[in-house]
Amino acid sequence: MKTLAIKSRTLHKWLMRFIGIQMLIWAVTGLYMVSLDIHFIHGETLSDEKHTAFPLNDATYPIASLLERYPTATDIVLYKRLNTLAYRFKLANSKQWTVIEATKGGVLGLLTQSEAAEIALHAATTSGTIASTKLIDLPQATPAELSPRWLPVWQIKFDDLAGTTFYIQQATGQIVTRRHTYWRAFDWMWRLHIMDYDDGENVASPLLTLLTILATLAIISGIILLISRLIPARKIAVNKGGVHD
Amino acid sequence: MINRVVLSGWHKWLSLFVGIQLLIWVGTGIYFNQMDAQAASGNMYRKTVSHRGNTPTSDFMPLEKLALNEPVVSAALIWVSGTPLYLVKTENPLHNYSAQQHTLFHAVSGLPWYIQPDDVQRIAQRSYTGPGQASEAVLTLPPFDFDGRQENLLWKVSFDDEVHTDVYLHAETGAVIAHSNDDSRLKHLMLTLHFMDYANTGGFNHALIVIFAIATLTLAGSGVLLAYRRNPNRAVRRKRETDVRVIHTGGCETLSLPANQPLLFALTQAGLSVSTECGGGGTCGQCVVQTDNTVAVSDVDRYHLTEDELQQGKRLSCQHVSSEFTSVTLK
Ligand code: FES
Repeated sequence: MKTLAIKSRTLHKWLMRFIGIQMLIWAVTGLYMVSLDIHFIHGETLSDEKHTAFPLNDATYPIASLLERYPTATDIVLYKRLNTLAYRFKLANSKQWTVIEATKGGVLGLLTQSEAAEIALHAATTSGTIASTKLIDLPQATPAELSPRWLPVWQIKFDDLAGTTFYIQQATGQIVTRRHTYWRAFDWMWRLHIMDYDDGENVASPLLTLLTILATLAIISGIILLISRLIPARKIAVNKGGVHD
Repeated sequence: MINRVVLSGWHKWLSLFVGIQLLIWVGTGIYFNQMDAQAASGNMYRKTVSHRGNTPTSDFMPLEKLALNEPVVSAALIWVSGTPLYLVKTENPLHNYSAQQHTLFHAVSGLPWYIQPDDVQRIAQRSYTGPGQASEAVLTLPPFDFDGRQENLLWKVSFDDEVHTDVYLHAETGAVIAHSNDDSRLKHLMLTLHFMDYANTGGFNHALIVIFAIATLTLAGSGVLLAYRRNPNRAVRRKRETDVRVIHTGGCETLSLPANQPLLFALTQAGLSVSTECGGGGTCGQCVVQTDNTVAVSDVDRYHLTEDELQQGKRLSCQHVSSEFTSVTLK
């Protein structure tokens, strides 16, 4: 028991001197991630879209006519884009949405800067005002916090403390992504947690393998040490006394 | 400076509290690091199903004619096994797993439409490429083993293959929500353990894990403080060995001991017995030796030993390096 305590302490100490900082990082990032509500992190509280409801009988342009005009249309959805009732759909061989208005069938163009800003202000729950609006239409210009599959989008930044940013799809007018500082911090916490420092998509890195194996040994040695500290060694001490006699 | 003994005490009791969970976290971490993501998805036998039928689109009833008076947020044209339908939503929750509010109408007749268990079974079969036979479709209440967040009723169709595939389908539309099999169930178990999600909330925002995370952070913080604290009594580098006269039960001998090593470790390595519970942590106070020469009293000595004992030359052997001693007497 005695030498086991010394051996496990030595192993525990030296392993932890190598990986202790990462253990601390796992603890800090883990605490951040579990203690902030994931729905809040995803920006679900940043916008609400209750003003988008409409009565069905406003849709006077029939879907049958739409399909006659665009026979390859799929994913047809009737919805409200800003103040206009509209159909959005995809055409064969195109990744982009086509949008037409749902009363007369006229084609709706891409959102202008001021329309995008209006959508953002309608939906935003923040009291901040808009700090900047920018069109993002090239994959290489896409910020890391946005998936390129949504392009082209308007990026609307608010000047509030949380750094609220909306990404609004230019064709459909839908808010596809909401970001704020807490999400950006969460993203970094995740990268540090899984030890993938470039894009946070790879949990299978060899570095993580190495660290988790060392951590297992360090924790097991710690548990052995703990057990030997909890089970008193007095019996052994008494035996030694016997030898003394 | 925080007392080392106090810090070490915190470290010990916190590790008693979170030790096993730490092992679970790192063990499941190794699983996620090593797992075959393709297999763990549960989609071994899954393929996409095409539902598009050939009903003439000119027969579709205009949406404005549907018998629905409340305001809606969207209306979509969807196909279910060749049948054209209007899917009308009166609420738009941000997640598909949240409780849904929507109604289906037949796109030609405009009448409300309900899926039949046979249709569901057929869709499940069409989404499945494996060798198993399909069970009947059963409408099942949450919670589900593939995702604790799912709040909606789902159809379940089970296949009797070697990985026990279950196919879950949307209660109203029959859309395939997930394939679940032994591999994905294992992953789900690992997630449950990693997130301490024993109530199957499907997430990690709950009080139990927050409490454990705070305890773990304190444990790791105290550990880092302990691990990187240097022994202040280190001898100069070039002196590698030091001679110490050791008086013990078996007699008296002069040993050449590593100068910078704590005396406890040096003596133990030399085959001499010094009692210890904590293995050199400065917390048990058992590794007492007596010395004739002057050895500076450390905080830890003072914590465990009385003024009299210190006067007599008693010191904790784990708290001083060998080079501080010229002569020691063991208990
Ligand atoms: S105090 Fe426990 S070994 Fe020194």
